[in-house]
Amino acid sequence: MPICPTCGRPYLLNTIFCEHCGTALHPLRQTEELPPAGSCAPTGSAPAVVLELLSSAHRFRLLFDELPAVIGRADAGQARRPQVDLAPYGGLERGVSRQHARLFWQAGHLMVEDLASANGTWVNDARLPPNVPYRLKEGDILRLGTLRLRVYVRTDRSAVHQLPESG
Amino acid sequence: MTPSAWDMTSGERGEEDYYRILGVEDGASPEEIRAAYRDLVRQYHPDAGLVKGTSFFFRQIQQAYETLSDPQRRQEYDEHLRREGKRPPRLFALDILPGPAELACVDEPQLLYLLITLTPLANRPEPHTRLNLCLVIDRSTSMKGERLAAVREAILRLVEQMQSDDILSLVAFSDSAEVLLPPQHTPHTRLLRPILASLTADGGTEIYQGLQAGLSLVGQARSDHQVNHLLLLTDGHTYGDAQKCLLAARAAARQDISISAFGVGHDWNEDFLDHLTAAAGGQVVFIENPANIGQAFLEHLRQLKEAWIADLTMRLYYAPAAQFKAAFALTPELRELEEIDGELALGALHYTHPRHVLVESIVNPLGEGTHRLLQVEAAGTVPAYGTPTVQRKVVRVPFRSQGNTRPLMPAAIVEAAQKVSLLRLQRQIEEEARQGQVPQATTLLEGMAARLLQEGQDELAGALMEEARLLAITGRLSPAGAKRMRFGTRALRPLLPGGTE
Repeated sequence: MPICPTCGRPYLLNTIFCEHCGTALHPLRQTEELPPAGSCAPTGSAPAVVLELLSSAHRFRLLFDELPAVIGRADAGQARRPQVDLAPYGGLERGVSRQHARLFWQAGHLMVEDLASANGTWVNDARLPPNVPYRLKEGDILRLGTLRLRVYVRTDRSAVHQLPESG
Repeated sequence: MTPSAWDMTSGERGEEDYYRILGVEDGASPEEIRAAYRDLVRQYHPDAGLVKGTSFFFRQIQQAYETLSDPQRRQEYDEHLRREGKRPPRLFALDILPGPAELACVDEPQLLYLLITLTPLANRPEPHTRLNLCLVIDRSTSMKGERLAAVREAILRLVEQMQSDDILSLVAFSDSAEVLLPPQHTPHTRLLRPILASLTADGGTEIYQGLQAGLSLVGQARSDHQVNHLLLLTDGHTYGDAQKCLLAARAAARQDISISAFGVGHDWNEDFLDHLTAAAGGQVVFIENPANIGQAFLEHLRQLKEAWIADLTMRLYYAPAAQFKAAFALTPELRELEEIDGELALGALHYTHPRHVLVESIVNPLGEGTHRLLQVEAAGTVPAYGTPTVQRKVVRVPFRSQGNTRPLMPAAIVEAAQKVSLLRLQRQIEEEARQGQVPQATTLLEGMAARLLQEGQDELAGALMEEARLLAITGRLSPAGAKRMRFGTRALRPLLPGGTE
């Protein structure tokens, strides 16, 4: 039987987390590509933006390249759907508003703007004032309510699938 | 539809049923049918000579396969089953996702996860679910003042929301129990006010007294056409009668009476109430502030009225190569399911939300090929019709000689296992603290807080950090902190497809 590297206790093959100390034993890399919430794989010439969902052991990658895009949560009674729908990823529980934030390009920079959301938009733990664009950098942590996403920008399309493995 | 047309049992006994023979679901795909057939042929072919007296069964397998593998004949057979009243409409769906999707042929036991999803198949508006509810209220001295006042107000608000054909009864207890209201259709608040005014605080907390009186009232008004439920509200520890309470709860479960408990304040025993409610398919609600009692009553009523299938239980029938390890309810609460008399009690399946369960099984080494490892059976009663309902599914998993790739673990299972791992950490912390292992408990507390922060659960993480600080000073978990940690962990919800509440 394999041994947990943290607490030294044996565990059964295929175990995902150590029962005693909670150490992740199964590599938590992407094991299946979930359908992206926004548009599909990049096809155009503009750089691709990848949002990696951090509020989960699993790193969902939301891949989309048609900006501007509204990030939010689709709701049954709502006519306008956001381009990036976080409802399937716990958007409601984590306080994502229906129209939460907008991503767009400005002078070659990726910008985010909070759309006066109920629970706020945060970049690296600083809360953004509503309706004021803010410039995002590669690797920034974007937080919508309590849902956290890491931001990647890829100009080279082939590099989209070679993001660093975060653990 | 008449209840007789729903009777499953007559169709099951004796007479052959091609789907049952192959061990597949009614809606099985042609691939599933073929796989099941091959599997059985390997085991039961007379030439294999493995088991004596199998040739009759083997002929049945052939017959079943010839019928079900031919689309035209299968359709006719399905028609026949429906005409004969042997196929009730499906009232819920049972879906099973194994992880990893394939197991490796290795010479040591391995773990198999199953994510089981139970989805209600109900077209609203169905006839609404009727309630047979008994409130069992602790009137011991500690309930005096604000707490009992909040309870009186909460009961009045609850009654306003109940429907006229719901049944209510009321019991108050301290050292002894008193029936305040025998079972009757929802009484008018005018009738209830003077009764509640007589509800004053005095004496100790002997939960068994209240429980026994309450269960007898629910029993009097019990029927399969209702949700039969007892709700216990207490703020204290019971003295010396815990074992009797648990036995009473198990007896109630056998009569399909479920029990939930509201714990008010910090001075009640969460271990005891957890066992009590788990034995009878209910839940514990932690009410820190008495001002929230009213809201908790209404929320509980809403949930009871949402019950589409009541007293849902699950049984797992394992093949010799596999065995049960543990099972966890993921929604609506994250908690370990106790196996009682071979059954896992899940409580109710609501109209609106699916239920998710993560089962861990240990699988012993097996050779290449697809192996049937277990059958899952979920059963319950539908109060709207007063009828039982059951679904079964066989779990088959392919085994392959080890390649160079890691087994594929579905994302939903990783997500579920992560939440279960937090639950295990929380229990480990309780256990270490109980044994006075302060440094170990503190390390685990800090580790769990860090993981919660990573998941955006800032509030619970904060409560844990505070508890780690207190633990270092006092050497034990505080009653309030232990409850916040336990019930906060229970409220963690995995992000599962269709499983958001």
